[in-house]
Amino acid sequence: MEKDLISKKELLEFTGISYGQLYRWKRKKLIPEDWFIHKSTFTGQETFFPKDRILERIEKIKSMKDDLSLDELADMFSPNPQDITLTKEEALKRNIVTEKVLNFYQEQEEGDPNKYPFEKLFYLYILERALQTGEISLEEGKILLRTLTDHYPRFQGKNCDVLVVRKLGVAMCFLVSTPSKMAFEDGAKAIIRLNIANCMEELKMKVS
Amino acid sequence: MKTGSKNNLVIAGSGSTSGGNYNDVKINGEGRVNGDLECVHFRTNGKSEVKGGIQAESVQVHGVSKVAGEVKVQQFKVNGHAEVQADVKSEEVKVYGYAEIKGRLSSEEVEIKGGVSIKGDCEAERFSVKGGFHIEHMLNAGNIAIDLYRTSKVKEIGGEKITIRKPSHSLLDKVKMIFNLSGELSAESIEGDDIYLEHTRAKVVRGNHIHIGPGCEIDRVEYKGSFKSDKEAKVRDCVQQ
Repeated sequence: MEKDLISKKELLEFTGISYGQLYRWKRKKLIPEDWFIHKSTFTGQETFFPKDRILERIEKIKSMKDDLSLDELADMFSPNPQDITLTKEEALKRNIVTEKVLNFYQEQEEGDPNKYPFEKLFYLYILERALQTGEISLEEGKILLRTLTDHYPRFQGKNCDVLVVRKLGVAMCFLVSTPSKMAFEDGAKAIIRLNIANCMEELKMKVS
Repeated sequence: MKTGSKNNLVIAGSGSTSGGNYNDVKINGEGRVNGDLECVHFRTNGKSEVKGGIQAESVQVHGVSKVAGEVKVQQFKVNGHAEVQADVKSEEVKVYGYAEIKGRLSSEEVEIKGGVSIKGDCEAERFSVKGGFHIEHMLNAGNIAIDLYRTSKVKEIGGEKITIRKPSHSLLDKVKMIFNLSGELSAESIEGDDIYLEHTRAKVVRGNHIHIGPGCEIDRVEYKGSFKSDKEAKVRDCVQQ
């Protein structure tokens, strides 16, 4: 996952935040520790960040910090689930999931069709995102859903990517902890790759 | 935490016990706990060793204590010497004496009179030391106030307000200086909003308002707002950004 990096100095200049703020947000877990990348340069050790992700995160913190406390913000960015249950109507109204995908989900899963705790909403949201790309079929959506419900709890709030890889028309679904490197043989293609923490964050924005 | 239904554990004299879930745990004399300990208050007078971790509201060490596992407490107080071979997570840490932490330390408040050595990172909202400290990686705290009485070392410091002083030069201090026992801090980098330093050696100091006091040797200062330097300080490079 080679991405554009930004040095700490450039970051502070660009965003206008101070060292104090940056360190405070790190302490409050608003900025994950694994985004602080130490590298040796000719001037000694320097810290870098994944450029797009840190800029997006800092914009979000700056725009929301007047309305929410730092702890509430930390909760929003953390990969841990929130304690909330929505009804079917609420889930539809907040654009978490479309009716079509919701009906498809209900055919697969048991449980109260009108109550959606956070965990279920989360799987629904990922399914929705994956199906909306148009890259996977409903049948492959089933595999995705199964993989998530069976195996995601084992990651216990750790960040991971969910992948759907297809070769010669056969699809397989993976959960891979991040950051990690992957390579595929020729002919195999990752058709879906979603980051769990990002999805969680988007969902929390919709829910709150 | 539920209390009342649980038993107290008292070791008086010399003894050992397995771990478990208790109300209050007291060791007077010499004691060993061979497992994880979960309790409300843990107090040891004398010498003690816990072979597991501790989860409690408060832990008080008077004397010498060694803990093998993670310590998760609201209040952690050491009078004497404590060694924790894993992480310490707390709201309030007070050390009068010496503490050695092999993992990382995170706490709202850290107050040290004496010394502390931390192998991992240290994170706190307020971090104050009268004495010396040794942090192998990073010290990240909102308000950092250090009175240097001993040679101290840290790799990186980051925070909002950072004040490092060396208290007045008495005759005794001058004698100590000759024998190289006097307090001095060395760091690779120090970054913060308001920084005041005395007797500090650092490769780079970055921040908004920077005041370099007597006895400092700084390779490079990068500042945004204001910069002041004492005539007894050495600053090789200084740039405003």
